[in-house]
Amino acid sequence: MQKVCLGIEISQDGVKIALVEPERRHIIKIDAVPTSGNSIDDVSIYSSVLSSWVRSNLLPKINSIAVAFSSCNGVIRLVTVPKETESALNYVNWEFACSINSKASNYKTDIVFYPSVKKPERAIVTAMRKKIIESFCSVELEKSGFKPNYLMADVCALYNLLEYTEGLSGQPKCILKADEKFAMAFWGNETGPLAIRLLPKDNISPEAVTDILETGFKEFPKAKKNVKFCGELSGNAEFTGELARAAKDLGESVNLQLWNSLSKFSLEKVGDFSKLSQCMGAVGATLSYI
Amino acid sequence: MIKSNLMPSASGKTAPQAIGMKVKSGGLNKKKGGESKSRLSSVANFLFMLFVFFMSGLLYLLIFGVPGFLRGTIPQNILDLLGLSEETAATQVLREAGAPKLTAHGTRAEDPAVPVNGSVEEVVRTMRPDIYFRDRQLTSYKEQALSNRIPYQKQAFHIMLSTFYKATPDGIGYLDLAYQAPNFYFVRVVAQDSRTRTSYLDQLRAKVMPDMIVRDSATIKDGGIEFSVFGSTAQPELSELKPMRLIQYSRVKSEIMALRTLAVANQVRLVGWEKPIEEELETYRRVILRTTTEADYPSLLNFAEALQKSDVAFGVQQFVSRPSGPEKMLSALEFVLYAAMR
Repeated sequence: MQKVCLGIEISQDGVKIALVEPERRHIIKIDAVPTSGNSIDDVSIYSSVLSSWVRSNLLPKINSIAVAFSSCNGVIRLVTVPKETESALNYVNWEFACSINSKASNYKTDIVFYPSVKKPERAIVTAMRKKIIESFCSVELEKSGFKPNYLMADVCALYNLLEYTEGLSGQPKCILKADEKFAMAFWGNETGPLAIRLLPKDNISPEAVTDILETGFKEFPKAKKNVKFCGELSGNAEFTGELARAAKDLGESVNLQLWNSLSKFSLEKVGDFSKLSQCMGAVGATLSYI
Repeated sequence: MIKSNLMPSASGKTAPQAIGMKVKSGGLNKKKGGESKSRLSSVANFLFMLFVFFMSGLLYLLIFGVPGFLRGTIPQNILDLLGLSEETAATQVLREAGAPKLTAHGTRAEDPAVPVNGSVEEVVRTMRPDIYFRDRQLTSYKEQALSNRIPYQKQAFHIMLSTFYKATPDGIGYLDLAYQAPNFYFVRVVAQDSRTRTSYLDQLRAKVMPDMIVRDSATIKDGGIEFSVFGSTAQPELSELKPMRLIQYSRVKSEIMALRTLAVANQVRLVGWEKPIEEELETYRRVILRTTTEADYPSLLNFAEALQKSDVAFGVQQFVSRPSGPEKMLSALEFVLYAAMR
């Protein structure tokens, strides 16, 4: 029997769900469920939403759960490691401690070095408050059966999905994920993530998003100006249309592509996958099991 | 692939595949109880290892004795407690082969007024070779630069010890054996009979003692004859001395350490080297180290030889040795060093 993984992406006021058989690269079901608050801050919302969703759907047995959280709910930093640094890990920890406005000891961090741990040039730092992590490890959540096995930032989940489905070369590729209350664009190639741009909720507009795309691409002048677009706003036709036009009108026009298909995944024959572009983070989270 | 996971590693049902380079994860959220338990167990492990190490060290000392590099470093009371001896086979052979034995005798000495059975310090205080050699001009020594006096003293000290070592036959015991720079000596001796006494004095004369004054004691006690001999030993050849320079004041501490290391290497445990006495003279500083040791005669002789050959900037200004119990002797060594002014 194939193992089934539940991928969950938590955003400001909703959860995106993907039920995946990772070994078969098969997506059984996806869904986007609105919530009355942020599930990250209140884990009871997370468990109750998932409980009711599971009850209302006829689902196979779930073997594991992987959760991706929006970058605005934690800390995500792409740190350039100076060549003269003796200990890259110490440097990144120091940089992280300087970048936050509270004690670094309050955070649980996860650091991945690129292109290699022996010769690190960059590091992806994901961090979340220990209090939140502890709430995800609580006995109550374990009893409810929704304690996650993996907890990661959506940037990591999306990068993994891009790498797995599209493949990465030396050429930088860009992903734009725009939610109602948070937008994020990042560039990566085979050597790992190269740049990240974040946009807070009050600034989200087609112009502001194209602005971060333009400034981001300036770092990679030779890169093809194609952007994979996903996130909650990718389901908003009006926003998508305006954004595509604004991107085309840039000095060096950027081609916005809706990311609504996954080449290496098969989809359940009977099912609604119209919201796939909104649930990419949830699908990407399940790649932890591949 | 970015293999990132903020969940504590223990909760992961499946181990992540080794595609990405995971540098740091898990462990940060461990419960405090677990941490303190593991700390407690590591402390217990450490203490156990320490205990095993201590016991094996003790066993080694009891079976094989004190190794050479540790001689002079273990306090005597600990050695006594463990029933250990620092005497090596070599020094034992030397000692048994007729090294001068300082035997405690309670006879009274006449002039010079060195206190009988007094402490080493008392003997040192009453050492007045200048009384006997008031008229002698020590031209060859006093003409020397300060820096040359040190190698002179080192060699004279060795000459004095080796002379008495070689000249002492069985049946001779010392009550006092003293040396003062440049080459004065004073010994208070007990001979078991007059034949031994004559033989001893003849040997001393044969060792080219330029000045030798013998003064018999008034008393003969327990069949032994007590007498004093004083004078000056053969002078070192100035041309053969190792030239030395005045050291910089900043090097005094390292010189003290070098001296101590040299002493320890020769089984001579010096006490009192921590408190050097410094005198600021017109153009230089004089540093005096007043030390005592319970080392035996062969060890002292070895030390004197090593000191003479070494580059240590300390010379021996004064040496007094006397018995401090059966088969034991206590010696006071006064080292001197001249340092250039800062």
